Amino acid sequence: MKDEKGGQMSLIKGSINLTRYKVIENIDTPDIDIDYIQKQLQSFRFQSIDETLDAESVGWVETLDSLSTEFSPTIFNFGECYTMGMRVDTRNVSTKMFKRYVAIAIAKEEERAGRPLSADERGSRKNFVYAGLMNKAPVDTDVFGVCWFQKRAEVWLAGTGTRTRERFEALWQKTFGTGLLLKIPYVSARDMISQDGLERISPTSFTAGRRF
Amino acid sequence: MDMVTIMREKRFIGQEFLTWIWYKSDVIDYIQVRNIGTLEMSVERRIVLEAGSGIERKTVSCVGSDIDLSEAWAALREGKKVSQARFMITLEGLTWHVTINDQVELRSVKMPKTFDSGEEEPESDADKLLERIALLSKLADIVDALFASFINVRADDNEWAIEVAKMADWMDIRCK
Repeated sequence: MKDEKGGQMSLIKGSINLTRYKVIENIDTPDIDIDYIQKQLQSFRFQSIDETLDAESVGWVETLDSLSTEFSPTIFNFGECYTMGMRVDTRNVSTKMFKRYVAIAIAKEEERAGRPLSADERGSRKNFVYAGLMNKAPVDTDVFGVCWFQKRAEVWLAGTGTRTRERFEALWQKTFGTGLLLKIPYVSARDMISQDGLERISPTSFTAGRRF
Repeated sequence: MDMVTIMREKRFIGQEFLTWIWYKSDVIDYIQVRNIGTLEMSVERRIVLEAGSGIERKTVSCVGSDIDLSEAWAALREGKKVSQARFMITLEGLTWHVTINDQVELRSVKMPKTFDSGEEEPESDADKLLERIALLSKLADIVDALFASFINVRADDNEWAIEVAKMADWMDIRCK
C-alpha cells in the first residue's frame, strides 16, 4: 500500500498532512446515528477496478484495513471521532503510448484492407487499442485517512492537493448528503468576529511610515 | 464570493497571522494562549515570505536546519509577509513540529514523543491511531486558539494599530 501522499498509513505512523473542513450543515441529529453512518459507508464502499477497464474508483475502506469494507461500529467509532479511509485506485495509459499503438493498429489494418480506414473504423480501432492498454495498465492505489468529529462539525482529511480534495468532497457529499467548507482563515474568522468586522479588515502594511 | 475568490482575496489574513506568530514567538519566550496554556514556539528550518499576486508575486525562502533568517528580515522590511513557516511548538512537555501555510493547513506534522526510550509504546494499531488523533487534535486546538487570539486583536482597530507599531519596532531592531 502506497503512503507517499500522507494517506491512511500516516494516521498511524510518519508525518501527517492535514486538510480541515467544517461540515456545512451539522448533521448531529438523532436520525443520523452510528447505524446510519455504517449503512452509508457500506453503501459507498470502495469497489475494485481490478477486473474492469475503469480508469478510477473512489470509495470508503476501514482505517486500519484498507482491504475491508465491513465497517462494524467498533472499527470506525473512536469516542467522539469516526475514522475511515478514502481509497482511490487509478489506472492510466499515457497519451504518447496510446497514440503510438493506435498508429500501429491503424497502419496494420489499412495494410490488411488495402485502403485507408473510414472515420468510424478509426474510432473503432482506437477504442479497441484503449481497452487493450487499460487492461494491461497496473492499478495505482492511495488511501487517505479521514476523521469526523460529529459534535464539533469538523472533518479532517489526511492529505492535501486539489485533486485529492475534490475527490474527497464529492465522496463525502454523495455519502452523507452534506457539503464541506475548507477551514481557511476567513471561514474560521467568521465564527469568531462579526461579519461586518471581518469585511472591514483590509491588508496591513507593516512597514508604512518607517524608514530602514 | 465563491470559495476560490475568498481564498485568493482573503489570503492576506493567513499571511498576517503567520507574520504575527513569527513576531510573537521571536519576542516572547512563553506565549500565554487562552484555554490552552503556556506555549514555547519558534520558527525552524523553513520560512517563506511573499508579496504581490499572480505574475507580480515575489517570494523569498529561507530553508535549512541551521536557518539564517537575515534574508527573511530583509524581505519583511521590503513589505513581504509570511506565507509559510515551520514551527516547533511545545506545550506541557509535548513538542510538535509543523509547517503552517497561509490557508492555515497543517503540513508535515511531526508528532510529539509520548514515551521515553525503554518505555512501552502503544502496541496495537488502534491504540496508535487513538493516540495520534488525540495529539493531532491538541495541535489543531493550539493553532485555532492562536488564530482566535490573532483575529480578536486584528478586528479591533485600536488594538491592531498598537500591535502593528510594536511589530514595526521589532522589525527596526531585527533589521539593524
